[in-house]
Amino acid sequence: MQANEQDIIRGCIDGDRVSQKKLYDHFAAKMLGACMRYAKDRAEAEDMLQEGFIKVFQNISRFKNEGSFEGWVRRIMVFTAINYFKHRARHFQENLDMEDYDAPFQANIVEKISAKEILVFVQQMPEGYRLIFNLYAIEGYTHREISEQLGIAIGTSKSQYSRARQWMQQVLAKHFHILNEPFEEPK
Amino acid sequence: MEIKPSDAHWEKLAQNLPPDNFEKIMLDKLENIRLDPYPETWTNIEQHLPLPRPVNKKYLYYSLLFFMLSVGVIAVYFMNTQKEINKIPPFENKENIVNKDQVKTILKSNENGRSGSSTSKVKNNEILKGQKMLAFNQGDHQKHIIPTVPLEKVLVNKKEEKTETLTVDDHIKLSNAVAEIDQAPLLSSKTENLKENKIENISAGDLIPIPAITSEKNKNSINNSLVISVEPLAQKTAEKKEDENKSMITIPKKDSLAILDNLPSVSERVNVSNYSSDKPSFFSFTSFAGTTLSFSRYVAPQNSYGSFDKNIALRKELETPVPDLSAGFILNYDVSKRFSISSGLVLTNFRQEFRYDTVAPQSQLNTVQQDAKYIHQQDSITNAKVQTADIKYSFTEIPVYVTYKAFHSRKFEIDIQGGFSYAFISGINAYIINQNNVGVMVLNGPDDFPKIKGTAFITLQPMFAYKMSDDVSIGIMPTYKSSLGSIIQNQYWVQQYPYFIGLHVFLRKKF
Repeated sequence: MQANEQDIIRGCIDGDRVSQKKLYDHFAAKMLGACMRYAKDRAEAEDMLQEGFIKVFQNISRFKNEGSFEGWVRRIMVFTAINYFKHRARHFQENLDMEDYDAPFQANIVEKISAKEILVFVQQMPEGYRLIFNLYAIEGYTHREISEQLGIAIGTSKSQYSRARQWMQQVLAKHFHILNEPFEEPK
Repeated sequence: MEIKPSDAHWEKLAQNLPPDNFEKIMLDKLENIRLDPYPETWTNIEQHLPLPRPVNKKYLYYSLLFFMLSVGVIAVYFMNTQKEINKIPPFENKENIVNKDQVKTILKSNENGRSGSSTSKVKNNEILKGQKMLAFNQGDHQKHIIPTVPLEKVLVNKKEEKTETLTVDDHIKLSNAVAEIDQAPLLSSKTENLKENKIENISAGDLIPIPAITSEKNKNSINNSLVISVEPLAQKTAEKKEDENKSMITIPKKDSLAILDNLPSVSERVNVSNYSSDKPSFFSFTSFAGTTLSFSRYVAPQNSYGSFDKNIALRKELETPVPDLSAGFILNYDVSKRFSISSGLVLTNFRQEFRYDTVAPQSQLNTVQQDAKYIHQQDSITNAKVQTADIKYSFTEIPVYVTYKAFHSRKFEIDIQGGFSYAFISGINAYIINQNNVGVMVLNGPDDFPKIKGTAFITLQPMFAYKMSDDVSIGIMPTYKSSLGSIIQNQYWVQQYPYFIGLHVFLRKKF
């Protein structure tokens, strides 16, 4: 850990407002980007960010210098997002209606779509899909770890991720194909 | 309700998943998205944080008081040990033969081996027998100016509350995404400035507005996209974090989540008016004062007439270190997190007590220097410590130090400072036993035989500091300083290498 970051953390432990503001300014943008993937809109993401940072400052004295500090902050944001999911009493649905649109994943298509567009699609994903999609594909948790965190079966985690992935592929493909179809004026 | 799929179901699903780099692409796209939060987010966070503890200034006042008392005690001691001046001009050697009519015989009957008589030349202001003698003309001695700490700058701690917005150069501005995302219906009722929109149930097949595509070739494309499936969005209700009973899923508590459940209590509100400046500080100013003990290392000249061994031995026996004042100020510049360079001005006094006695000359008077000033020119100097004189050299140093920050915590600092300095002679009042230990030379200026010159010193001093605030530290600093060259200019005379050990207190201010 850099010496400057250590000084800021020490200041935050002592309750120094300037150090806390520095810490917030340094990590807020990146953490809000992470919260945006878990939330369904900007407002909810801001709420997650707010709650996450309150927990960061209240528990910063427990940071043991094991691993990166950014990783520790990110884990708190992830747990905050999980708590949001739990408190809204969401559950995982298995029998969603999905069109039989056979759209295999095409990397060259996805690479042409910008990050912010993909973010919008992620936010529109069903909540259960979105949570497990983020935990598995972005955060790198295994299905076993996800099942332990959420109290679900491993198979549920795998199936939810599979559906999330299919959902994303179909949306991306449709989005790209719609964009590339020649525009026909309505008759 | 949770429906657990069978393993066969998963196997079928897994078969349909072709190996690809979907996760990698998603990770690359989504991992490093950055978005500047609303300004009121920090305000909301701040309201939930306990107010910072006020700075306890009594330690500052006690430390300043201790520092001032230390300087005062040292100054009083220094002034009280200055002896009254009895202007006894040294015998300037004009002739070697003393007229008998002018000599007054003084009988000695001391048991310590003082026998015979002394044939010292007596003038109107008699040689004071048994009392301390000082051929010291204070008027010729330069006064030392000890720099004082600008107390007004230390006591009045002008701290301003500042809010600083850091600009992060590597933030990717997704202003378009923010604007686009803002078009989505807002649900939160917590953020006061956010608009409230009604949330309508959206079913499969409905059109959901998608933000305009920003790529050039897709500018004229339609903005709406067909929704494949959408989970019905429930209307937002007022949330209460305390109401745990509304959760439909019983989630077993895990250790990784329990860390977030135990929140420390909010401390009492205390008015805090000042915050320390958060701008980076590269410069600091250190003032210090203390005492040093002075020693000398003598080296016989390589090319000389006669032996100086007995002379050196007698000098070592008769010259005793005496504590004297040393003070100065240093300006430090931080070149890195660990190192800083320093320079300034240091005043160091070399002081020894010269205790001796005289007897009838034991050897011939053939070692008198033509351009030297003497007292007891005709007497042999002995180790009977009856008479006392002060030997004093005042040095004005210009140092160049390097400081290594060995240990820095919230309250304590340990630095190792070392380096070189060049010391100019700014004052001399010295006595040097003549060769063959007959007579004592008196030096009142650098040009008096054997001529005194400045020299370089090497210094090593660890600094133990206590941080009273972010900018002000006090501490103690033991010092070792040794000359790299002799202060005696005459290469045919005994070379003298002074060295010091001392203890100082210091006050450091960052700015």
